[in-house]
Amino acid sequence: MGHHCNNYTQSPLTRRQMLTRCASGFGGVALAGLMSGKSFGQQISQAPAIQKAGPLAPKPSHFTAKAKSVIFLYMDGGPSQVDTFDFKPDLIKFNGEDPRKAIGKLEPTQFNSIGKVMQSPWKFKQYGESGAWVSDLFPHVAQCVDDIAFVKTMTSKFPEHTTANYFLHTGHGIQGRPSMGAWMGYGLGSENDSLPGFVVLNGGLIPPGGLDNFNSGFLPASYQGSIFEQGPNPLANVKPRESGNNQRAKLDLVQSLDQAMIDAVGGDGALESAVDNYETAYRMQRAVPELADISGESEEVKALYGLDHKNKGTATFARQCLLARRLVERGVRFIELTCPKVGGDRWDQHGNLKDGHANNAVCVDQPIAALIKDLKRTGLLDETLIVWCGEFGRTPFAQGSNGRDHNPHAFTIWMSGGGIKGGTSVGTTDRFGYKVADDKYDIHDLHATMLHLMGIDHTRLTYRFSGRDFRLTDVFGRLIEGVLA
Amino acid sequence: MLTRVSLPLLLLALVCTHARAEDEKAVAFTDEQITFFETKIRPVLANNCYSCHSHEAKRNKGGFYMDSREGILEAFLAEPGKPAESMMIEAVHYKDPSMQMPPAGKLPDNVIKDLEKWVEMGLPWPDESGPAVAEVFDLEQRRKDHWAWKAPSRSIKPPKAPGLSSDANPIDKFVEARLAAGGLKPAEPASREVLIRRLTHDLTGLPPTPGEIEAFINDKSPKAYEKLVDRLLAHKAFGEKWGRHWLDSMRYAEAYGHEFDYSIPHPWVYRNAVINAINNDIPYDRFVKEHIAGDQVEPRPGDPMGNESIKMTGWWYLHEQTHSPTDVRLHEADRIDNQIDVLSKTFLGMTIACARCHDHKFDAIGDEDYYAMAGFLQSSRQQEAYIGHKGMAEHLEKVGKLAEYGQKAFERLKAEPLKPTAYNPEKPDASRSALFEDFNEDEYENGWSATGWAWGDRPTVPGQWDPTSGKAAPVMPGVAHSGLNGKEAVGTLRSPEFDVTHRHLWLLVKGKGKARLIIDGYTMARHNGLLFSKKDVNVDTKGKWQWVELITHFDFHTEGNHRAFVEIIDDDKNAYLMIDEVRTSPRGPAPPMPDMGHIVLDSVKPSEDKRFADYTKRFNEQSARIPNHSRALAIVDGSPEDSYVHVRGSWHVRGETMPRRTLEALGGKNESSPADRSGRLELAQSIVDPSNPLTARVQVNRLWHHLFGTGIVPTVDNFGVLGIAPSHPELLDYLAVTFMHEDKWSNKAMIKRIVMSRAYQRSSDKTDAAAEEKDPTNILLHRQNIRRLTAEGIRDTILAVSGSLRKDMHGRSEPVHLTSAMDGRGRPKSGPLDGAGYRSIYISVRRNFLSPMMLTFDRPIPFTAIGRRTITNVPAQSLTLMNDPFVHEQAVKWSQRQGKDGAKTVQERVDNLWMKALGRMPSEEERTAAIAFLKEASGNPDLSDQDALNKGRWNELCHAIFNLKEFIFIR
Repeated sequence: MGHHCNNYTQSPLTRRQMLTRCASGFGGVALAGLMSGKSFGQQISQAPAIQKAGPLAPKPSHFTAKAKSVIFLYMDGGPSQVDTFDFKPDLIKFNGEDPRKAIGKLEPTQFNSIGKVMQSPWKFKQYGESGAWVSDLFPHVAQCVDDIAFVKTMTSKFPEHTTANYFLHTGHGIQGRPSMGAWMGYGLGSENDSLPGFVVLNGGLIPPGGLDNFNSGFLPASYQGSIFEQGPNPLANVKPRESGNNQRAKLDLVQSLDQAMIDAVGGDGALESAVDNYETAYRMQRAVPELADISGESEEVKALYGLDHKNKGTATFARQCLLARRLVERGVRFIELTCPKVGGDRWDQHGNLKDGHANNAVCVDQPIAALIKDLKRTGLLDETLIVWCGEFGRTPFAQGSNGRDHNPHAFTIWMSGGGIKGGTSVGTTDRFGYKVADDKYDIHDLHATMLHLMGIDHTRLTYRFSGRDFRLTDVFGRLIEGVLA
Repeated sequence: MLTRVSLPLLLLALVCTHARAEDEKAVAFTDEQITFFETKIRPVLANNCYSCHSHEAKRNKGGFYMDSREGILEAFLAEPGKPAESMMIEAVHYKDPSMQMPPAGKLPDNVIKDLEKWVEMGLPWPDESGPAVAEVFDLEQRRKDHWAWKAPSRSIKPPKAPGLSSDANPIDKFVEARLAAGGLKPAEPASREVLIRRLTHDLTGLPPTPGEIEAFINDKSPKAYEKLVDRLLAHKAFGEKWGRHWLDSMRYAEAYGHEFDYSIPHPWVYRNAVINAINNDIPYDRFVKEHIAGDQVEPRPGDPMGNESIKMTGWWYLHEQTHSPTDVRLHEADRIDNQIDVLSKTFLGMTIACARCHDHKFDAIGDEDYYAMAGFLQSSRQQEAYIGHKGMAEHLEKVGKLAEYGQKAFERLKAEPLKPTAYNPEKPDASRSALFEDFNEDEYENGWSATGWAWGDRPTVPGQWDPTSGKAAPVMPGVAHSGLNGKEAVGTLRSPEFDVTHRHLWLLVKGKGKARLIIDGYTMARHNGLLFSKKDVNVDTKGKWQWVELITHFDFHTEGNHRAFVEIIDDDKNAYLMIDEVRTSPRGPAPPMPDMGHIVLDSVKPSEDKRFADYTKRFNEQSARIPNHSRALAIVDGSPEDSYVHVRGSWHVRGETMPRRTLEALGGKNESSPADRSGRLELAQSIVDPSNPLTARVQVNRLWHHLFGTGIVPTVDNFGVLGIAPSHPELLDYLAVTFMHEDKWSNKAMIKRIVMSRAYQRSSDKTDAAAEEKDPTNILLHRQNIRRLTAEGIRDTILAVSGSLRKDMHGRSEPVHLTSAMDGRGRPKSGPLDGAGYRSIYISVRRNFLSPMMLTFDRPIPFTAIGRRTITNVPAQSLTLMNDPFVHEQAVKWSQRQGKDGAKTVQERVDNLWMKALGRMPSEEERTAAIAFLKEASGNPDLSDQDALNKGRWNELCHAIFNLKEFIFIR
């Protein structure tokens, strides 16, 4: 595809000119970048020549964006809509009845073990000025409902985790397609020259389907999600294995020898890009651990997120949410959070719904609410799109006696932040929360809406591969107008 | 623009159909109604009405359109639900003389009834988003309009090029004539040291050694370069380098991906067969034929059992797949889609899979073509083929001779032959079972077939001695028996495909083995029984006859839509299995046991037994010598079956049945497939037929691509309308014709032709500013291209330079080294950091645990054919070379080994490093800079040269060299 092919000529400064001007050599250039300002945004504006040309260089959007970054809160396993945000009193009324009689014809389920209609084990209350119903599973998020737009009528095309995950992440129920974060990077580039444009904060659970949920598929590898692990060194090979001085001396040698070779061959775009990458990589060694170092955050902030929560999963997810905010501050385009390990299963309660959902909810509730509040008070919420979403929902009737099976026919997702009309709810499900009654959406529509808020027309973001122009939304997708501010 | 983006989906019938189902207009119609329309109504409308009343009509009569439901309704031709009030129904009845349609003659009564029924139903019609106004699919016109469908001419002659003698390499005549026409001068030849490094990497994926470089530079013979080419082509590493290119196209992987990343059986057998075939320069036409139908071709000379050929078919089943699909036929359709995709891109450079849901939007490929091809796969099955090793055939023959010997003696006893048992239970059969197969014929009939050596070619017959019995006893007649060639012989017996109509399948068996039910080609039940219970059963009856149950239904079974077959497997060297009868029943319990006791033959005198005990002993001794077997993932014919068109890609909506054939644009309509086989062999023959305009072009272009970095057709997998046209069309055709007719499809001969050209041997330096100005992307090949090594090339070169490379072939695969980030379900055991020194082609490729280093340097994700890798240039690559523990470790190893090179001065050691890693001596400045760095990295810039040599931290300099661009790029 040759994304690097023309960079050399388009670059306002050639590498050679750059280095001539910065006589201190490689380490000097990179270090100057690092020390040029407190915030990374300033750094970009002060050292534009190096980074504006690569595949991750910022690109113009199709129209004015409402949000600059996405935080995608992926709820692995499929949280139950009727136990969280889609309150259905009729489940109480028909509790224990045969769902074939109460609800009517049932679709096939993954495990085909159909129990009785099952009321939610949790109480629902109304919150905020909007009066949104939220169950006791989410007492903290409940405090933020006036900043949230719920979509009660999301649907998936697949009832099984792996395909549904690929569908949610790539718009196709198969392996090997570019993830939505990769599409965003391809469409918009990155605002930060020291960090990847698409970061996955791994809470501990890689979703079924594996890392291909975050891959670049046929898009160039530059757009693939970088998996940030927990701990001080979140990225593979980002930690030098030698002293800073030694590395700098080595890279200075490499730089001078590379330059001699480039001179000898008469200049070459690919070679020059490869040299440039060393500068970015060098900065990443500093920027990534700096990002992960939260020692400078106030105690109030740490408490808000729940960093010291006695529940380990909550503390883990709190840290991820805080890192998400720090990534947003640094201009990273797409941030996805995966769920922490909670001891039992992820949100996939085929049995023992009560304990399983409670365990999962307690891990994410406080950190998510803190993320919304924290972004809001700094004004960043206005330019950040938060999406809360599983790959499908769960059946209103039991699987066995106390679980719920997968339900792709209707489930709740929510969005908050830039361009989102808070305190709203879109779509209605039937009286059991089983299927869509009115205003049906699917994952393509979610993708179209997310792209729209980022300033991209989903029908115009295409990539030619294997003889056709591919889109994240394939030939589908319409905006979920009701959530737009 | 909109048509561009609404291009066909590769694998997504489900997306399409569900989207249709959600559409309000179509939601009222069931799949059956749509099928009724597609099979009974649309053909009638198309054949009788469209010539005047459609958008395709040359001259529309009446001003209305019958090629869409909207068109019919808008013209008030029909009233949904009310045939009696519908004008079109009135017209077809020919009642009113002023309105009789179609004018050519009254339709048959049953057709009129169908039309009435259709109106009664409310005019079911699939959603088609309006009539296809501008998109008339004219396959023949498209074929005529596009260059790639025209066969390359055999009479193409290389043009005259200025300064080239008539006996110059024809490639250069083509290239240089074109350069001259563009006013360009070709670049100078590359230096010998650049050339040997380029050629060695290109042909073997490894760097030349300093000794090889020196020898080449000092070789004054005019044939020095040609000798080098010949040596490298004969190098074992050649197959590893070019085999890896091929594996990209075959989406080679060793696990299925998805949730648990289950293992694909024996994938490395295919990989190693590819490496060997390339090293042995199996002609490409044969290579392709073996890929498609290696289970049916004549064996290669020297491989009487055809082992190598059948191994080559493994690629068919290297696709991804999930366990527990809720729609198993969609799962099958997706698999076939992927197989057709790989086949068509790799062998034909065409994107046939684009025609799964509708006619190709750009190329001369219809959805009928797609389903005609799909039939080949519908008629084939995955198998784990048995590979016999040295002496297998001889030993089996000896076992057979002994059995025959005993048989003759037994016949002389003139014992009363037993008759096959009839199923005649004393108890009533509560399950109401029905016979499926009783094995009472002289041959495996009705589509039963066996592979391996255990099951022979027929069931037992009356009068047959049982060589396993140890006495003068007959074998029970009318059973399939896997022990008559010795219990050591292994094999699989397969049933024909049958419609799944009864819930239970009962096998009356004795012995030890496995029974499997494969529904709609779904082979994953052995890994995970969810939704598919009792499909994969281990059998051990402890010496008794017993009914073994397989359940043909599964959780999302839909009545009348599934086909299945049974595999009965004896893969155990110490056991055998007999099967007397297969029955089906709608419900349990098991059919009552028939009386199996009456087979004891008492008409033979006990005194004879001793002699026969001796026969049995000899038989057993001989069969114990049967060598071990191994297995290979492979394809085998199933029941021949044509596929119907899945209308709009949905198997639920049945279109016309398409006889198996190749593409219409390649003359497929003139072919017919055999009724008794899948027809894959015929497909293979048509693909490699010299009249096929695509196959040879695609392959020579691929070879060119790997030697220049860009193909003559840059889109190596797509020679269609959306591909990129050839930069040198005559050269491409000349090479294709030469490849077929002169080189006899020899890859090595063609590669040699290309690398012997001046074009290949030129410098890649951009020293001619005028040429760069006129030909900035070097399409005209005024010079060679600077290219980055592949992911494998980088890793293998690091190993070679450090001295850690293992040069032997790996039988299986070395487990990939897992980093902490490589987590998730199905996580395998981690392998060593350095892959035990094996070349990268031997490191395992598990879809959910792909090597981060390979991915970082652009090895493609194995999901479809990738003939051309995307080459990225990202910081993660720098981080890998800067900080990856593997790279550091190899730098240390290299420095330790280099410490024993006998260098007397620090300069000499630096020179040695340079030669080894970069294939050249350092310049004075480079040497000085390297030594200065070495001293600094050793902690003392003022270190003496001698101390630097002996005590310096050489690993730091080695590591720096790994990070040079020159190390990972070839000039």
